[in-house]
Amino acid sequence: MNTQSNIAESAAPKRKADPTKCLVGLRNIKKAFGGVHAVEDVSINLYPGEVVAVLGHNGAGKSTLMKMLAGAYPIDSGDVLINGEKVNVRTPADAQNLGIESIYQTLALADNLDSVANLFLGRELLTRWNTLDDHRMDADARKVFQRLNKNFKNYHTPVRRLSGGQRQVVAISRAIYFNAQILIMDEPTAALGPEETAMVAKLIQQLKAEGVGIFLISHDMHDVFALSDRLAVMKNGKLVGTYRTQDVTEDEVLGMIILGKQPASKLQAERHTA
Amino acid sequence: MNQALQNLKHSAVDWRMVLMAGVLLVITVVFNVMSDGIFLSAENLYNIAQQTAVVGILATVMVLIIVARHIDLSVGSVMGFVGVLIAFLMYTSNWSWPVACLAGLAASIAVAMYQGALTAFVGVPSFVVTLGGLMSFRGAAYMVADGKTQPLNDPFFLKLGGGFNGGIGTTASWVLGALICVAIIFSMASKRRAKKAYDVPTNPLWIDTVLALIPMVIVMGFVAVMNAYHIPNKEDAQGIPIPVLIWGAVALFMSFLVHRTRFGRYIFAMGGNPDAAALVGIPVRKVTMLLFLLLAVLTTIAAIVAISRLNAGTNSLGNSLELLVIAATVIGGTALAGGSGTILGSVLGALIMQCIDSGMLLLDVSIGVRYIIIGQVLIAAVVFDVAYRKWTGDVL
Amino acid sequence: MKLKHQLTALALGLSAISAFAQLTVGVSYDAFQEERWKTDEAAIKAELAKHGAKYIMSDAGASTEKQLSDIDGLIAKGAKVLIILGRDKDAILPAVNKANQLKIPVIAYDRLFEAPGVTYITFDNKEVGRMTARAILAVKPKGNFAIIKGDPGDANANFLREGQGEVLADSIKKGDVKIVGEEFTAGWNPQNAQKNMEQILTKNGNKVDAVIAQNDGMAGGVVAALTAKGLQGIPVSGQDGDLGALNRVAVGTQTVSVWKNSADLGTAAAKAAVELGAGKPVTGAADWAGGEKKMTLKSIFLKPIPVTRANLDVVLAAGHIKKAELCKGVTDPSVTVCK
Repeated sequence: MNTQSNIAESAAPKRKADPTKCLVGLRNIKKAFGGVHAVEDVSINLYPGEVVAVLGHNGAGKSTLMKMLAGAYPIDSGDVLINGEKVNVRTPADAQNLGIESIYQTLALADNLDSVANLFLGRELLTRWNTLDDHRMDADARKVFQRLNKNFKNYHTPVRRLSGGQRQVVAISRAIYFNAQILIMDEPTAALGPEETAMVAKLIQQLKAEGVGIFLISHDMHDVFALSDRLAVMKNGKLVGTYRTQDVTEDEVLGMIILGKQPASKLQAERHTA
Repeated sequence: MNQALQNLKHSAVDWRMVLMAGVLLVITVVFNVMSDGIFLSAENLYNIAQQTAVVGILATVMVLIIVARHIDLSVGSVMGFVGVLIAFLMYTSNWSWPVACLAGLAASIAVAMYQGALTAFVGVPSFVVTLGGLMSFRGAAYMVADGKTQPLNDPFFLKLGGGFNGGIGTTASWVLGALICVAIIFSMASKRRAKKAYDVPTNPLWIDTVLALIPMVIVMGFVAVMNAYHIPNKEDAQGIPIPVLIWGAVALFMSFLVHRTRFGRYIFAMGGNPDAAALVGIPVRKVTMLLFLLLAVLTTIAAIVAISRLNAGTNSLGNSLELLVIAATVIGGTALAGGSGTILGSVLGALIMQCIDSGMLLLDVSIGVRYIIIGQVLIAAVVFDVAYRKWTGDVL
Repeated sequence: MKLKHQLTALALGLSAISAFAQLTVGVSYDAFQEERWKTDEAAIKAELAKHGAKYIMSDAGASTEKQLSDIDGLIAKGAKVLIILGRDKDAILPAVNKANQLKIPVIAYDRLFEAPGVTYITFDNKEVGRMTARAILAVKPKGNFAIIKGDPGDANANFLREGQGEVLADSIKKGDVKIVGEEFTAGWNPQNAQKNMEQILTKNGNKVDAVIAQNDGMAGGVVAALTAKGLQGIPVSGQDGDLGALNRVAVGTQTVSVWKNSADLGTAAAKAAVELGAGKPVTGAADWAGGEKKMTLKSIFLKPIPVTRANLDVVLAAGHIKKAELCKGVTDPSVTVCK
């Protein structure tokens, strides 16, 4: 369990990443569930301040790949490098300790608990007697929530009673509060209206400026082209190709997703040029 | 008007708890009238307090088990097994009561590790594991003493179940009551202070005063009633019965676990959304094992109170107890779907059930009718719970 | 010539074997919950062994349905006579009728069920009831009485109540005895008995002078309830001869435990089973039609023994209880057996 947050305000270490160094290096990642190869030999890089969209049809392996990075599934074989160093990400706590935060499609919220409890779920702030420090968590949570949405006030109602956008705020606030250095977002705008989608877009820009690296899983072409710097397409567990978003067209991307067809005479981009 | 209703609906007061307390009050008044004033006599209330303690103790932990989306059908049989074992060690093997109780605790923990491991690590549904336990441990209870009743006569041990020497006396009761009131005031004061320190808005003073006064009145009222029960030919009045002290201490501890520890928070998270709990890194299996361990400790405490109250360990100890415990928990507002429940609710639920049962006995209601009524009360409580959740939009 | 001799010898041998073919007796118990059934079993086994018969058994774990399939199982395993401790006098009939059709004799053991041809072997349960009431009346001829009855579904609870009613009838008519509380106890469970007793005491302002409890397990619960209110020592009855109860009789918190030496019952049933298995009538059985359906059954009624402080030596002599267990905590010098 994560006990790093025992100091005031946003407690997790604020990391300033070196923009020239690769933030996340996924090397030859493999995972099989029984006889099914969910992820086969996938390698992707992520640099600070860039958004890499991960695309593919249902069952292509995008969520599985990202869940392995988040520590929710164990990796069968392959390496994960964070800032050039090989790491072992076996549990969600391991990932959190490395500065990796996830915003799952389902949001991973406990519906019967309130927003404050959900923000700190698994990483509660403790008093010196090891009991829950409700007051400090309450105060810190308010600050984070206010930053994201000035109108959000129902801190103590169970989150099942909140709107989709408010629930999204709670999920995102985890990443903010714990100073994510690497953020995984799985379909962040799928359940949101236009106003809230704009809020998410603004947030992503903000985080990029702070040097956070973001993996963005999305079906929404519009979001992908509006928000991402590079995109990686997966099909049937394998990586089809990685390209700079500005270098490809929507049709070419669809072609990669559906047919696995590489766009003609385009250069793959392993990284976003600074 | 609508706005006021809306405010009421979503306010921090748990109206269900208030309603349950109201129902309990109505039940006691109705029975009191129908029994010509015997129901609310000090003696009868003393009876009920003692009669409820064992179910009450187990109901507090059953809340957590059901909240975590599990169930324990074996709690009656395991309690019976542990109880007969402790009694056997004292009566037939002549062990001293502290050592016998420790041995009982060890047995209880072994059972919990076994059932807990199957549930947490192998993934067998707790319903199935404990259903097997229900039958197996009833058999084990029989085998411990070959079916023979094990009478108990250690004078100190017998106090733990209440009875003639099982009250703490008037002075101790008043002192304890006063201490609890002081603790209530202190905790309210420190809560207000902490809120101010963190810039969190506090309730208006009059509301907090009322919220503190209500439990204080209840506690002192309870002490007064217990001090009014005087057995003829005994010097002092009984005071608070020891099993009730034990039950109260257990309830306070469990409440602390639920509200102030990570363990309690994780139980609720696991019950609310098991997938989310795993994704955020909660060690689900470890927490589940700890829960079963907690169950083992409380089962042992309940067994000790049960055999000391009966002055014997019988092989039928705890027969069908699981039904009463689960009923008390559910009547107290714990949702069988998981994720929702309170310790205070379990206390009220146990009291409601025992008041109805004991009240009907005072009125000479026949055994068949009594059982029918208790069954329907359980259903009524759940129907009310479902309706209440719909009304507040809390659909599970 | 030699072959004819061999074949004759073989034929004679086979018929000799069939003449001494071992009789299999099946015993169906309904639940091993009360202490005593182990004693019954030991006696049945011993008596059957004496006659060279084979013993097989089943335990229905307190389920009427399971008892039906248990009996099927015993028949399938070759039982030629059945001894049945029936859980429910009506629900057991399908199994009994099946046995009758297969010409397998059935003995109703301790608990009555009525079907043609059934042999009923029991302790006179009504007499047990009478004995409990007599023993209480002997020490307390007048006052408020409470009656703690057994499980409402057990016919024995009613037989006991009838016997108790007969003995108390005169005193009740005269107004000497008043029944101030009477409750059935689910499952004969001692904890339920304790709770019921507490409520009866409270209802009557603790003015209860004697308690007729229908068995020792419940008597234990009653005594616990009385002790909690400082009333221990008022007359309490029980039955079964449970070791804890006999100790209570010696100490003085229980007045009588009607002891049915279940060893005697088991022996009588086993003997009857052997006779029935050999196609002979049961010695000592007489016609009786005292059941609900008024069916005439061959019956044997054994006499129970009321054990009070005066005759504790009986249980000691029979080896039913050891002196150490009987006399634990006995300080009264008037209890001579414990000196």
